[in-house]
Order: sequence, then C-alpha cells, then structure tokens
Amino acid sequence: MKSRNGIDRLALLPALLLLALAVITFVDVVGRNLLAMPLTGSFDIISYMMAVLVFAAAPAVTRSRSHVVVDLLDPFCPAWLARIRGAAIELLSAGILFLLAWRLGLYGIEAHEFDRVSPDIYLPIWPIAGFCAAVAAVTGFIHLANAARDILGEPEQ
Amino acid sequence: QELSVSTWLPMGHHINAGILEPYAKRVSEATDGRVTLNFLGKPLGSPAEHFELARKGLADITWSNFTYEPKRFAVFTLFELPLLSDSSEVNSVAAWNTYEKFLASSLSVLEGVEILGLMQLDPGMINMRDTAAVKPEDLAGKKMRAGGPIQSALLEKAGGVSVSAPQSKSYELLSTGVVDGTFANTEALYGFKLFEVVKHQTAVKGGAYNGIFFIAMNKKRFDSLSEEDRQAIRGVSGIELSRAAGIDWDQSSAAGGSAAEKAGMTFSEPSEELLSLIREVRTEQEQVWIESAKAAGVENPQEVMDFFYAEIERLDAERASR
Amino acid sequence: MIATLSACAIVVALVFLRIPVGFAMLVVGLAGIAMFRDLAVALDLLGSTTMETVASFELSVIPLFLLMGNVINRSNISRELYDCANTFVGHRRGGLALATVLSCGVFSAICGSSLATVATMSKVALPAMRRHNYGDELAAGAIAAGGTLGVLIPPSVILILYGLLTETSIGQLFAAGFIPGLVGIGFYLLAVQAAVALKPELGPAGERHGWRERLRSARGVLLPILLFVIVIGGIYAGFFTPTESAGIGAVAAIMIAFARRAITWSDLLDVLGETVLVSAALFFILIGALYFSHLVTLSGFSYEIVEWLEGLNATPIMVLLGILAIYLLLGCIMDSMAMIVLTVPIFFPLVTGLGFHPVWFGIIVVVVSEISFITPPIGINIFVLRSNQPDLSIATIYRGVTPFWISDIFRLAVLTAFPALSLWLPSLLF
Ligand code: NA
Ligand code: NA
Repeated sequence: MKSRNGIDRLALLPALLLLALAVITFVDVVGRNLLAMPLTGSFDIISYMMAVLVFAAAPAVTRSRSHVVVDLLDPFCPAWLARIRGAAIELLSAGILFLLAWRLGLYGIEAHEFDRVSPDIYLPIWPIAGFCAAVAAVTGFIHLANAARDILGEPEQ
Repeated sequence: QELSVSTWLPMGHHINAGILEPYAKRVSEATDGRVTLNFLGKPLGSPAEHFELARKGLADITWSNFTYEPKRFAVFTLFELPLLSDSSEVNSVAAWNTYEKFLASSLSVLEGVEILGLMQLDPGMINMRDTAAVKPEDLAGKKMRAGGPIQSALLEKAGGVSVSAPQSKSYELLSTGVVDGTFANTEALYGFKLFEVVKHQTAVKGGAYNGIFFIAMNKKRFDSLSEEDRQAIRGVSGIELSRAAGIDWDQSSAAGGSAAEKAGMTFSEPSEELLSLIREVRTEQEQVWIESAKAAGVENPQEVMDFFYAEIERLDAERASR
Repeated sequence: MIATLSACAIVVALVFLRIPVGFAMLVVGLAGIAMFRDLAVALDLLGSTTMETVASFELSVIPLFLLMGNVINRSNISRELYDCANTFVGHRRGGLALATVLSCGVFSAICGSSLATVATMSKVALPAMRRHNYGDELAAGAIAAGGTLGVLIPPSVILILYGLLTETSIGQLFAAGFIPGLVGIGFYLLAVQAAVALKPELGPAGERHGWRERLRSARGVLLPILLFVIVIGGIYAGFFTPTESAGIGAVAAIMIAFARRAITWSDLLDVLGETVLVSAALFFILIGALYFSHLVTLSGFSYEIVEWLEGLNATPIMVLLGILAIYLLLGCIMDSMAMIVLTVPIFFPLVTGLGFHPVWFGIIVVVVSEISFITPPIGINIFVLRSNQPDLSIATIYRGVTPFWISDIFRLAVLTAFPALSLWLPSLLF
C-alpha cells in the first residue's frame, strides 16, 4: 500500500513528526540566539515526540520487514526451511511486541496513578506510554500477519 | 543479606565515595556483617526512574532528586526554596526533622519505600562564564542553564533566557558558549569541573535555590529483614544519615570553592536588588508550595513551613556555637 | 562471568538465525535477568527501559542526522563533488579512485552515516570509473572504503551513539574525530597509489583539466562545505549544542536542496519516510542493547572481569590490544552499530578504569568499527555496494578493499600509538 509519493502510508505520521522535530529544534535555536526567546519546554516536547515517532513507525517497520537482521546464512537455507524459520521469527517478534504492549501499558497506568510528568512543562507521561503500548499491540498483530504470509508463501504487499 | 544499590553518578563522585560507601560500611558494622550493600556497576535507569526502581524493588536502595518527578513530589519543593542555611548539614537535618514530624506518616506518595535519609545539596549559586551577575540587569538577555521552577522564575524576573539541561551538560554548554552561565551549587564547580569554564560566582547566602535528594529503600525488602537488623539500620539512617550526608556536602562544597579560587574564579555578593528579587521568588514559591501541600493532603502547611524555618534557625545557632 | 559470556554467545547465535538484532538482545536479556534476579524485575525493567530509550531528547540526533544525510543524498551534491575532485586529480594514475576517496571525505563531513555515503558514491563514481576503463576491484574498493570515512569525520552517528552510551561529550568526540579522519583520507590515498603501482592496469590516467575548469567545478564543493561550516561551526561557536546541530543541519540541508531545486516536496516526504523506518529499526536495537546491558550489570560481570584481568596480571596495553582484537573478530561477523551497542557498555568502564582517555577510546572504537565495515565476510559497506551494483561480484569487492583494509590497520596502529592525534583538537576547543 504505497501512496502517490512512494511513502508507506503507515510511515506518514512519523515522517511528518520528524520534519516537525527538525523545525522545532531550528525555531528553538534561532529564538534563543537571535530573539532571546527560546521555545519553552522544547526539551520535554522533543523527548515526547521521539517516543511517538519511534513507536508510530513500528507498524511500517514491521510491514516492510525493515528490522535489522543478519542474513549471512540465507544462501544456505532452502526455501521451505526459510519459510518455516521466517514464520517462527515473526511469531517470536509478535510475542515480544505484545509483551512490550503489556509492560508499556502498565508503565502508563502507574505514571497516571503517580502523577508522573516531564521535568519542565509538566506534560503527563501516561498518554505517551499509552500510545506506545497501543501501537506495540497493533504491531504485534502485523507480525502475526507476516507469519501467516510466510507459512502460506504469499508474496509481500 | 546483600542489598543492591543503583547509583547514577560514577563511584568516584562524593555521593558514592563520601556518603553512600561510608553508609554501607556503617550498615555492615551495625548488623555485624549480616547486611551488606552491593553497588551495581551501572544504574538500572535514568535519574528520574530511581524512585520507581526502589519502589518496585528493581534495586533495593537508590537515591535521586525529588524534582525529577515535580508533580508527584511537589511537597518536597519546600526544601528547595531559596535563602535557607549556608550549611547543607543544617538544611539536611532540618529537612529530616520536618519530614519526620509532619510528612513521613501522612504522605501516600512514599508508599512502597522506606526513606533512609534526606540530603540537601550545598546552596545553589549563580555562576557566569564571562561577566559576573551581581545585579538583576546583569542577567537580562543572558542564556542560563536552569532546571526547576525556582531557577526559571528568578531568571524570568531578571529577563534572562533559560536553557533546560541536566547539570552534567553544563560543562559542554558553557565551554562552547551555548549558555552564558549556569545555576549550580559550589560542589559542582569541582564535581563537574565547572571551575574550568566559569569565571564568576555570585554567592547568595543560603542559596538562590536549593536542592534535595532522597536515599530510599524498597519497603518490602526492608520489612523482610529481621527486627534486629531493621533496628540496627534505622540507628545509622534517618537523622544520622542525613547529618552525615550534609556534612559531606559541606566539605565537598568547600573543596569546590577552593578549587575554583585556585583557578582564579572571582566570588561576589549579590546586589540588594538581586536579593530582593530572590526574596520575591521565595514568597511566590511559598504560596505555590502551600497550595500543592494542601493538595497532597498535608493538613497544616503553614505550620510545617514555620517549623522548617525555625529548625534552620535553631540548628544554625547551634552550629555557630560549636 | 561464564553465564554472562554465554548470554552474549546466545545473542550472536540468535542473530545468525536471522532474528532481528534488537529482539535477540531483548529475549536473552529477559531470560537472563529472570535467572539472575526474578521474572518480575525483568518485566518491570522492560517497560522503564523502553520508555527511557524512546522518550529521549538526546537520541533525537539520530533520526535528524540521518535525515540530513538522506536529503543531501537525494540532491545532486555528490555528483558535483565528484566532478570537482576529478578535475583536480583525474589526470594521475588511479586519479578517479583518488577523486572517489576525496569526495567521500568531503561528503562524509556532512553525512552522518557510512551506508549513505557508499550508496550515494556507488551511483556516481562507479559508472565514471568504468567509463575510463578502471578495474572493478579498485573502483569497488575505493567506494566501499571511502564510505567508512563518514563515521569518523563529524558529524557521525556512531560517535554520537558512543557518546550517549558512555556519557562522553559529543562535542569533544566530534573534535577528536576530525584529524584521525584526515589521516584516514591520507592513508586511503596512499592505498590507491600502492594498488596502481602494483597493477597499473587498474587505474589508467585520465585527461588533465585546466585551472579554469577546476575553479568552475569548485563551486560544487561550496555547498557541502557551507553545510559543514553551519553544523560544526555552529557547535564550536556556541550557537547550538551537538544535539541541536542535527536539527539545524537537517533544516539547512532541506533549505539548500529546495533552493537548488534539487528535490520536490514528494521527494522530501519520501526521504522522511525512509529515514523514520531506518531510525525506528535502530531504536529497537538500542532498546534491546540497553536492556541487555542491565543483564550485564545485574550479573556483576564488570566486577568479575576486572578481577579476572587482575588475576592474569595483564598490563593495560595488553588488555587494550586484546579488546581491539575482539573488535576485529566481532567485526567479521557482526553489524558495527550492533557491535558498538553490545560491547561498549562492557569495555568502556574497563578501559577507562585502566586509565585510558574516554574520548580517545571512542575514536579507536569507531576506527575499529569502520574497519569492520569493510572486513570480509560481513562488511556492511560491501553488501550495500553490492546491492546497489548487483553486477559486481563479492569476490571482486573483497579483493578491492584489501589495500584499504591494510591501510586501516596502519592507521589504527598510528592512532593507538599517538593519542595526541585524537586529543589535541578537543583540548584546543574545550
Ligand atoms: Na560524518
Ligand atoms: Na564487518
């Protein structure tokens, strides 16, 4: 599923966030040096955007199978075995993502319970952890879909 | 019994070498070697995670700054107000006594941990790279590394520009000139080698701001120790640990000051205008604190504050007569 | 100690089974922490470690520097650079290979990543060298090796990673990498000369260009140098921090690319998408690495290994040489980024404890990891080059990188013997 631009639609949100990240840094630096007017809370905002950016990109990373792997032994692996191995790894990855979703969810619940906030402008932490947890769960299902595709030998989208 | 300690500064730093390691020795002696402290080679999380690390028992003992979680621990900003005592020992003992008398039993935010001690940093000062900041105008338009509401409020009143970063980044920020100065305690002049990159300190008696650290232990783990060992540990903790820590902060502060002097740093007094600006900040932040203390379930915040100030006065007098 | 080393070995084995690097470290970390402490601790650390890694102001430099490199990559700057270098040295024997090394060097100065440099230069330099009847092995070697210059000459993603893992000043690391980077360019130029001296047919001399042409083409160098001055100059002039420099560099690169009409909005969106995919994949490695390092901490490994070394009565320099040997071996089987995140947390306290300078060790680690980029059988640059130019045989590339690999070993020896080469510039600037 590619948009006109050739960018995976799943990657659209993090892509725009990355641009915003660059612009915010730029505005902060220019404001501080030329106008004596820094962007209040830029430290907190950028930290938060990073968390959203990384997890928002996770579904696209999984669907495009862009995780870093060592494929040195690929030439020695027959096709049938590669399919089984691929499915097994995707299942394991799904498990890890569900585990992350669970723990990040708990982290968010506790952050809410204990009023945990960012240091400068007191942004609450729970929504970010919650977002990461939700996306991790979605990504887990995409890994499951990848596993099914590996077993059935379906071509990638 | 071996208790793991997660510490986020290097072992050579005085918090480890001067406070926690001697404490570990006292714990071991008091329990006849039944309880020992084992320092992990690397922290198990960021400084802001260290309260949670102790609460959940990922490490048995941790220390950190309450203001890394500013809303959760808003009650403890009382101890960070400007213009307290010049001595960390006095501030730490006063903070401990106030905590023990009014806060220890009533604060739900401390559930899950046993607070072993409180320590006040030596008073926070204004440190400048090129020109001393004696009057409020000297800070106008200046870029300052600042952390926390009190430093930001002072800077805002003086018309300065705040750059938010941890103290560990001060050296780099100052050496390249990204900032013109930093709020820092005198100990940090040596501890973070800031004396190499700042030339002037404005020494505000009792601090332009203050900072408080906790030393905490996982409650379940504490309760799992024998009654005898718990009593032994309590005997070297609490006011004892807080006082010992404060004394070490005072010594480290003096060491920082003399290193800075040797490096040719100049020290000046704040002008009356700057002082009254700091007093203004203090009055405002006192009100902020009273509100947040009420919200945290402290019944008589004004009484708590008065007690804390009275303790400082009492202990200061006691110290002067020593 | 045995348990920790086994955990490391299991990670390597899982990685070879094609399990994503970050996930392999997470799985082994989870099992290991559950063993050393208990499952509850392992699970709790998973949440806090993940949040700490992703919600990080400091780590924002990684996607932003990658963005800057990728934007530059899309615009035509690399070709102009190459043409310029060619007018100056193309008439010498092996001149186009010299031009490749030089333009890789300049390109490195603005691009934070080795892979991007190789991918870009392979499209520009390889066709040119083939047109001039250069041997494929020299062409391939120069490109694969030239790409490694990118990680030492600032800005550099690997130096940033090292700085973040060890809390070493990134500004000082950047300053420290500069001279060793120049030394690297010098040694690579010598490697080209040596290769054509042995086999002159690899690099026939081209035509000579006049000074007028040289000056005209020199405009191609101006923009990259401008970008370098903005990014690195801005750091040392105190306008912004190394962390912020990535954002400034990315915005500046985008503005320059648009001003030259070298990219369109749709190109930009494409580049942004590509960058976030690579960055997010990298962050999952970082999460895994940080989590795995907690296993190393909880197992008491760093204390045990120090005791073990003391028992051996090894001198500091022997320990250092041992560590360098481990890196060269690991570099043959492992991706460099993964190697750094896995090993630096273990070796750094050891090496600095022995009295070596943290900034200097950072430069040494980066040089070794660079060497691993072009070390057979798994040199990542070799594979990037190969995937960009499928008609090159791996064997040809292996042969081609050999002189460069040898010159890298010489450079490593020089930098190890003379720490001042790395430490003089930072001492001047800080
Ligand atoms: Na670079
Ligand atoms: Na390699």
